[in-house]
Amino acid sequence: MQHDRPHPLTDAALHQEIEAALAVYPSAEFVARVRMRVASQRSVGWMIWRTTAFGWTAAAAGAVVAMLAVALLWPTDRRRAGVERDVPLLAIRLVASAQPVSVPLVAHATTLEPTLDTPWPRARAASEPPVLIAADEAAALRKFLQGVRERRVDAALLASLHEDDVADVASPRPEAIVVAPLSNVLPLVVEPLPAVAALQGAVQ
Amino acid sequence: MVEYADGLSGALLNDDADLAGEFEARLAESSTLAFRVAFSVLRHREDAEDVAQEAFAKAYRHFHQLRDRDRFRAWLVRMTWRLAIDRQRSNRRRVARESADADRSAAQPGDHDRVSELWHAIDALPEKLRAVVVLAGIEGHDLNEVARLLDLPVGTVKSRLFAARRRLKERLTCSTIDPIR
Repeated sequence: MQHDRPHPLTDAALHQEIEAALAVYPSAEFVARVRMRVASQRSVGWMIWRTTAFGWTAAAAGAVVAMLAVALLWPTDRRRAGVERDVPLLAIRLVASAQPVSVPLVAHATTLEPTLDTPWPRARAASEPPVLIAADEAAALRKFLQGVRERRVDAALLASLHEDDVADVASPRPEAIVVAPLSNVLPLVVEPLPAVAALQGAVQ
Repeated sequence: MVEYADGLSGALLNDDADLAGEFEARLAESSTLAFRVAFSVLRHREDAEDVAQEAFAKAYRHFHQLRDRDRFRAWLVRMTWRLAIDRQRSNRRRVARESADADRSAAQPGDHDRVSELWHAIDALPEKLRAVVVLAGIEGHDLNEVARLLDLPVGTVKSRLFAARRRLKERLTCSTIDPIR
């Protein structure tokens, strides 16, 4: 099919044709729909902003609290030394058993004793068990041993005291158990039962 | 602290209201432009309205980032153009719609054929030339306005428009002489 054109296609005619093809208008509801969408987006955006702002605030507050908690609870060398000084478990055991304590052990404890000036090396502290003798307890133990060495303290007396304590608590020896004589026990007397026939008659 | 928070939220609300008012004015003056740009690509009213609406929504989301508010129309045109191209590429229903249009055009020969030819010729243009010829074809747009919308020098717009018209004339003349093409 061939279209008959009254005049050749000029720029002006082409422009006019394109302009006519583009002379379209949106529907009457278009702008209203855009307004509604923008309004809904605005409320959602505000809500998201508020939620995000709150979330960031809460997250920041949480992070600060966590950092403070970590900073306060982190076991520093100084604090660890203080804790170990307050727990003289080994010292208690040593004194209570009253065993002769060898000097090297005390010396070992003394050398491992933490001081405020020389903190624990981290690798060493991780590989070895902590020594639980406090400085004052160690000093008392040292004083006690010195007393024993200089015979100011009678270790034998302490040992006998310890044996007495043990004897109080321990069970007695078998030969020491005294069995009471059985003569004082009265013999049991069993009375005979009444005749069965009389008993039946009485019931009837 | 509470007063500070109230003041901050009040300022934000005021800013939001100012922004909404300014956007409303832009919407009123640019709605037809966005629709026509979308229609020039899609040539379907509902689809064009959807795309234009999407472009306005996107524009509103990023409106506060637009430093030079006088460039809103150019910004909107570019967004609408890209969204329309994306829609055109992804819209598989268009095939069925075009076949329906072909049936309708077969039923009503005449001017509609001519418009279809014109649109097919415009579609065949490279995107750069197509944008220029469409924007120049929108009523009231001169070369300066097209240059502003496309952020191009006027000379570039002029040369592109010249090239586009030459190709269109060639294609339309060929289709007039040889209806098979």
